[in-house]
Amino acid sequence: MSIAKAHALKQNDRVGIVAPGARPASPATVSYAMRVVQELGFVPVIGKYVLSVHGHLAGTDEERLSDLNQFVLDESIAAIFCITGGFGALPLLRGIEFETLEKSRQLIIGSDENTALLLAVHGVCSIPVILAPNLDRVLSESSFRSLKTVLTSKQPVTVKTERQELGANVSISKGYSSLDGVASGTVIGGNLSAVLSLMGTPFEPDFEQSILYLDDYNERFDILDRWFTTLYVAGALKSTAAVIFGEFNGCGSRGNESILPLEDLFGERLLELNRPNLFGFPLGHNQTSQSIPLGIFANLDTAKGTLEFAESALE
Amino acid sequence: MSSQLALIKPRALRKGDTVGLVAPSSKPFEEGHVEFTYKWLQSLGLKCKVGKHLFDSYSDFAGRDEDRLEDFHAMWADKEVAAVMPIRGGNGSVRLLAKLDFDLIASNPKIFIGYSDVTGLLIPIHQRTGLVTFHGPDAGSFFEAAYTYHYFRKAVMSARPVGVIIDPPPETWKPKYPPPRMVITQGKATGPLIGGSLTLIRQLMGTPFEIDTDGKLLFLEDVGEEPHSVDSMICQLLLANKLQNCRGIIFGESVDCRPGKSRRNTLPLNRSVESVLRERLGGLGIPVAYGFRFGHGHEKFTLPLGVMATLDVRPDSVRFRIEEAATCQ
Repeated sequence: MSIAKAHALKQNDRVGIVAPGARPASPATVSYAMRVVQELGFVPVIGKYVLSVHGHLAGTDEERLSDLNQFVLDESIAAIFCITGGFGALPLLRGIEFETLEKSRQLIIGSDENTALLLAVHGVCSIPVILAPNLDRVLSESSFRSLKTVLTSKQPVTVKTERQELGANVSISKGYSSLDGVASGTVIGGNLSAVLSLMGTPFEPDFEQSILYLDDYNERFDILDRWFTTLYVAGALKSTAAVIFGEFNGCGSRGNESILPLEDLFGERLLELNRPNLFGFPLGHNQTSQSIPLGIFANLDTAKGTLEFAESALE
Repeated sequence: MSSQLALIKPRALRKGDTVGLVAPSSKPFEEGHVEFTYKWLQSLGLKCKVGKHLFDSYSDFAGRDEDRLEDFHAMWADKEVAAVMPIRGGNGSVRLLAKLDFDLIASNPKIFIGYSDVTGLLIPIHQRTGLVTFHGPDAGSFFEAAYTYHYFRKAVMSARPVGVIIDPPPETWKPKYPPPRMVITQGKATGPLIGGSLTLIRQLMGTPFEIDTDGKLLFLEDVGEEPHSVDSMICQLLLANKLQNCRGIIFGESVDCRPGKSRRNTLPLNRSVESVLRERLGGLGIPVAYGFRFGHGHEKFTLPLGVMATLDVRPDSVRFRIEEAATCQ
């Protein structure tokens, strides 16, 4: 599939800041997000409703959608950042101004439940989107640097599995695969629960020949096994070229002590399907989570622990 | 898919019949539970066969997928077995679907009853074969309350329609959560029943076994889900046009689906399931009511998938009647 590249962000570009799902934890979260964007070199414009309250959401569907579409329709806005995650992007999908977005190729940046927004925009508009920590999760120099690179550089990025430093000259890869191999494909995915929320809808991602990336946050292993099983039964896993996994922070057995780790539960089915796979990418919900473009072709080498994008998402 | 298939009604269960105990999902909580169930079935004049792998264990499943499937198939193939009853739900039923032999089931129709994770078999089997399957207590819970047992017998041990569903009398003056009944949208609707656990219905989305709600009366329930999680699943079904095209929706009492009560990811500023349902389902223009006694409470009635039922939601009363017999003599 051919994909139109987005424009690399430049110093002093105006960018929108939205909360498509949960209300940011506090007003301080919004000012933190604003400063992160300023330090990245851009001029933040805050959505009108980001601190509205409707249950756990940042305002009603209409309010959250209005913030998003206002930025989409504003030609002076170069990109749209999500402040925080939490369920809520899903009910906005039917109302997004996709036609305008397809032409403007604004960059949409976020993760967690906002994965639903990213994948819908990528799927409908055939433009790249940026899977990156939501602004409230940009918490380290390494996260900050990675985000800046992905938004501004025309060079393709490479991500490597996490390493454990054991001394001056000793560093061990923490990656794991149930089946080693090399694979090439378009990288799609994000938060597993959010990917699942698109299944059976008009926004279900195209898994064909993809390198499917998955992570999750604060979820029970048995629930994650459920959602992964859906991808298996739906034939989505079989369609992929390979599957790779990021961080599963806060995920665990939660009282269901007999349940096996995800590497067992997921790994055995990918082995059965003969799909190379790799656990341990530094993406997701950690202090040092990295950023990657979605919708861009990449080469995976599980033995080396590398995901090399063939090109940049930007021009 | 299901609308083209003729409905197959299994023969009603009667004294002297044999029940096949299986564990297509998680393993029994304790081995002793199986013996307890066995004795209950005996006291009803029923005989019992136990799946070969019922006590297996792999992760939180009752053994490997292929072994659970072998047990499940064996019970459908066994001419002596009149009813297939899972000992419990948990997790794992959907893992079996890719290799489930629907032809075997269609050519050996029998009673199949359960809830929760078993929804992952109830809906696909009904839709693929036309067999009336039963959303009701499993083998580990049919004896939990007189109310549950009463409707279990009416649904599977009689060839007459279940008829009007009546709420159990309140046990004390200390009302339990949720309120006995909540009217979301008034109206009257008749249609064949389809539904089950919301989490399982979500799990089937995008698969070849996805729920078909077109023209149906849809029943939904869940357990231990945060309201925002229920909201997410409802929004997905709305995006997939699954709720706009059904005739009416009945929502079961959803045990522990209240903020902070689940083992899930909790969020601050949460709200109630009722307010979520009111916002999402209130404008559909079909009758919707909440708080029916099916699902994860001790007191639950049995809902046969595929048979005609009528929901009549009025401002001050809600009537629900299962019009059609679910079994044959």
